[in-house]
Amino acid sequence: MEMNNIPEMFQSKLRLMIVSGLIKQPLSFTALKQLTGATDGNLSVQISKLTDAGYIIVRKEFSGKKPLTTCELTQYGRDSFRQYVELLNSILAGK
Amino acid sequence: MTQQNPASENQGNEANVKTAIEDIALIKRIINHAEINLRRLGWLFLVYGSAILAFLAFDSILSFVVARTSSLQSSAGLSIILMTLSYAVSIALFVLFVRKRRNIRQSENVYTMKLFDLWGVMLFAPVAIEIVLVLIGLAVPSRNIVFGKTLLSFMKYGAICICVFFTGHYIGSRTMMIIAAVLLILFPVLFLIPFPFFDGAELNETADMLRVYAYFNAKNNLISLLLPFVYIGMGIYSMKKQRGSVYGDE
Repeated sequence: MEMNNIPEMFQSKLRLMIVSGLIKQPLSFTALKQLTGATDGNLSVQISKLTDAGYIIVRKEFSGKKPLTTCELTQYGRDSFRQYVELLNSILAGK
Repeated sequence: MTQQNPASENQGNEANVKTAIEDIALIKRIINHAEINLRRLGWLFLVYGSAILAFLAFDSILSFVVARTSSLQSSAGLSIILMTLSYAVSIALFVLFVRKRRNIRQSENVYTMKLFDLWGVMLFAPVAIEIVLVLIGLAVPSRNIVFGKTLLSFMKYGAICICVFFTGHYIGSRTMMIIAAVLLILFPVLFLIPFPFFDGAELNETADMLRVYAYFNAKNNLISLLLPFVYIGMGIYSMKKQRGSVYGDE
């Protein structure tokens, strides 16, 4: 992966924040909102893009009577994120 | 074949490095913030440990004063009142736990919630079982109920040590794992050290049985005194380890 060939999904800071937040555990929509500081609308749009690209999956359940939306990183999203971090490290190492 | 201008290539590299630094910093910050929020757990331990310790101090002082100044009947009456009061304190703590849990349910990551729930079960399930045992004891007086209650205390201690160990493993805290291991080693030691009134005689006489009761009760008190300090220690540690979470605090 070259720097001028970054996957579109990582070209947005918000999408990068979402994927970074999900790398260790699934998070609810509210948790992601608090983590990223994004608005509901903007976050929904970016989550949809990441879902369409196969980076994350979204689960909609009910917690009692309240709907609970949980996002989880897919293996493809995890691999892509790892490759991107490796690319960033190689740039910083001057390779 | 096109030849790149070295100046523009250099500018491109600088931009790449700048982007890489920014993205790495962003990734680190987000991963750090998305980690298990130990402040919630710290709150639980601190509130629970402090309440139990405060109650134990109140219980001991009042029992001591009443035992020195009043009759045996008054002491027995007081112990029933104090026992009821201790369960009332536990129920009040449980209500606080449920309210806190409801507040954080929507805004917390799933692993933090699982850890919070695990410790909720560990702290409150033994109290619930104890209340059931006491109620059964009221309906069907039996020595086994007394044994059941004191043995529950031992089991609780062992289970809590194991839980501290796995919590340490889960959140990657070696300190917590070492403390849990030390407490687990202390567990059989606490159990085996004999008290002067227990000489290991055969248990078929009433007097010997009474000695065993006294032995169990003394050990039970020792554990009851030790556990609040374990909770408070874990509370302080958890609060210090994860301060200023992105999720904030109610």
